[in-house]
Amino acid sequence: MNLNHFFKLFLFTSVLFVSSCRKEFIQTESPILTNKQLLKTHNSKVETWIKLIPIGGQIKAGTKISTKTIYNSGNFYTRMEIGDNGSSLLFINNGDIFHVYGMSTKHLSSDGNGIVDIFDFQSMEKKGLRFSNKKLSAIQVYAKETVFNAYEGNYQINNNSPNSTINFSGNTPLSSASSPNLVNTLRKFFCQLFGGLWTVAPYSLDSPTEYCAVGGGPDEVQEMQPPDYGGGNLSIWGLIYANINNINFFDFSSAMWNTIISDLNAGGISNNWLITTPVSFIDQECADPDKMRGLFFALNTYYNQQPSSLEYETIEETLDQYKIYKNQQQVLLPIIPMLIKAGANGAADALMQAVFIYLTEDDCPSFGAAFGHDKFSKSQVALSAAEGLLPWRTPGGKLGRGAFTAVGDVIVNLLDGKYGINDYEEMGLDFMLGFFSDLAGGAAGELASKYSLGKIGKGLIKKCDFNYKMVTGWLGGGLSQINKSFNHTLSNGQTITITANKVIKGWDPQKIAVIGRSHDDRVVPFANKLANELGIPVHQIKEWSGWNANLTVDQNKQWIQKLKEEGYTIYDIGTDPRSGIDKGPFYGMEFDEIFGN
Amino acid sequence: MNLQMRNGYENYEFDLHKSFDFLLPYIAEIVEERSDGSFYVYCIRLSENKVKTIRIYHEFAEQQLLITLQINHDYFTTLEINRKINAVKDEDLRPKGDDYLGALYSNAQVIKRIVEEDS
Repeated sequence: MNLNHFFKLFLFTSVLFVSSCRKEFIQTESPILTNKQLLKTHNSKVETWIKLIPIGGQIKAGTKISTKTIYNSGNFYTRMEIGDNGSSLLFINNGDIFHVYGMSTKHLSSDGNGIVDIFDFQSMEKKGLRFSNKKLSAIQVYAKETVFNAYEGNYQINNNSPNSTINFSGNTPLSSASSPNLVNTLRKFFCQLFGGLWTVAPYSLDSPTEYCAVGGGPDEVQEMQPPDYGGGNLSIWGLIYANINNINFFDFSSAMWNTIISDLNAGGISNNWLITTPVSFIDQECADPDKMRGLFFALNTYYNQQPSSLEYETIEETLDQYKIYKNQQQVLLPIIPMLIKAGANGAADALMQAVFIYLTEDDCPSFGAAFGHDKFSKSQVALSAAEGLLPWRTPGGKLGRGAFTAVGDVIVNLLDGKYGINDYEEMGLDFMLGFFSDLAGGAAGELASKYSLGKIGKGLIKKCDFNYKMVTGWLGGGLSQINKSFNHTLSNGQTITITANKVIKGWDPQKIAVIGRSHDDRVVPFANKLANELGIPVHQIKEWSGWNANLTVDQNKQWIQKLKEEGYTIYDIGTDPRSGIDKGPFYGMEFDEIFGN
Repeated sequence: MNLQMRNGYENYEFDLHKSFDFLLPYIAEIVEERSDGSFYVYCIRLSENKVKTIRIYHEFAEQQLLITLQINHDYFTTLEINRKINAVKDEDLRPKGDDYLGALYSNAQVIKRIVEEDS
């Protein structure tokens, strides 16, 4: 996990566990305020709506929700900037109607040409406001049905043409304009809209003003399922995270903002601003303490992956589909949707099982194949998914917590598009990196009680090519600075001191080797004396069956690979002080392979 | 020696002795001479000279030639001595890849200067 992702995840989780919420709702009276009660109601609704963003806009470092409200012709308009990149939520209230729009300026150029994407959260309609020289030239209305279908995830909307177009006189009709580069999927629109933020926003069509009541309360919020608009109980989980498809946002100037307000209101714009907020809080009650579920669902919407596996009702049935790939290098059945379906806890469990099967089973040729391996326990995943236990309790102790942390890393990378749609090996490596790094060697005992450390270590070296220093650290050993010396008298009467300044402790306590320069003068004597002291054999390359006088560097590397795969503790006696600091090609390779990063 | 020598080093023993044949009048004892084919150690004791012993340690694959002279009670490598007397360039004391002859000859020059100073 790189530092950037770690930081994001840290923020992500920090916000999650904020124990108390600070609510600020400051109203400043305006000389033009005509209806205090309306404003109060408006603010209350806005506040309520914001509660549906469980991590409240503070997800991006240093970002707070910035809100401005204007009053004009009996309507209140609140523009809530989310992030600093041109995405906004727009709330309109005239006392009878409270309307919420999402607004993105991704396709609006800085010179005021292009399209502002608007999404109507009530009608579920998407509109494109086409601008020409900062003037609204057309409103493009997209078919509601396609939006709904996008939520259903049955297919990706490929219809770039708006359902209807309202042209404004004096401007270029849309029909003769160049093909608009519109956001053609709702999921992309959400990515665009909430760019820069992690956001999970449930919303109910049944009770549009009682958003926290979706499913009945915070517990139910966790259990929200993909939307079912057919039953009239539409719930939406919106995500999103920045940098998907390299989304860039333009600065949306006040002039353009005013124009939008003006045109939406079909009337004049008031310059009398009323500062109603900032609304900046996290509502713990409505926050989703296990928002991973929302993220997973959101990922589903983003990737639009609907493999046959997802059509199975249970996670166990879904996992059954992977059995045909149990001996395959390439797994054609997408794994990501399965993980999505499993939810955060189930995914953590599934990935952890897959990791250990992949690492320790010789007949498991790829990370993906592990999901179909005979030893993969579908019922255990299903149990973890169903119970949704706290991450540090499931699937168990430090291992479970490590797995849950690692799942977070993987999600970050998924959203960054790192794995494309099927780079499962890379995903597995990232999960392992996050998982074992979280353990940081502190769970070697717990690991050893469940799995063979030798097999895990070998798998991490042989199948995953992680560096030895890191793997030994994960498994309870690692690099240490030491000062171990032996004297050795040469045939000319000279006594030289041979010193090991570093050792890397492997996971097999019975296997020890020495590397360094001046083999006959230093390495062999050091190994012999250390063996005498420890009472166990200490190896050097000339004892290896592959050794010969014409040894090549590549052959030497094979010996080093054997040491690494078998978890040797390796002493490094370094260069020969009599001949300088040059490591030479053989010892230089050995040093890099064992102690390098 | 019947050991299989590293490729290209089949004549090493001959080349070593030839490069250091100027020492023949001084050699009192061959203390050590051995190889496993990947290295060569040759240690001689001299008589009636301030240089008491000369030890040649050559690892072929590592291209590491290390020659130590015992002068009275102290030990010096040819590299250290050369830095005082500037007999040859330092880099000439080290084998260049598998070309060891030049290094043997350069080291011999340094040793010759020291040994013959005392004659």
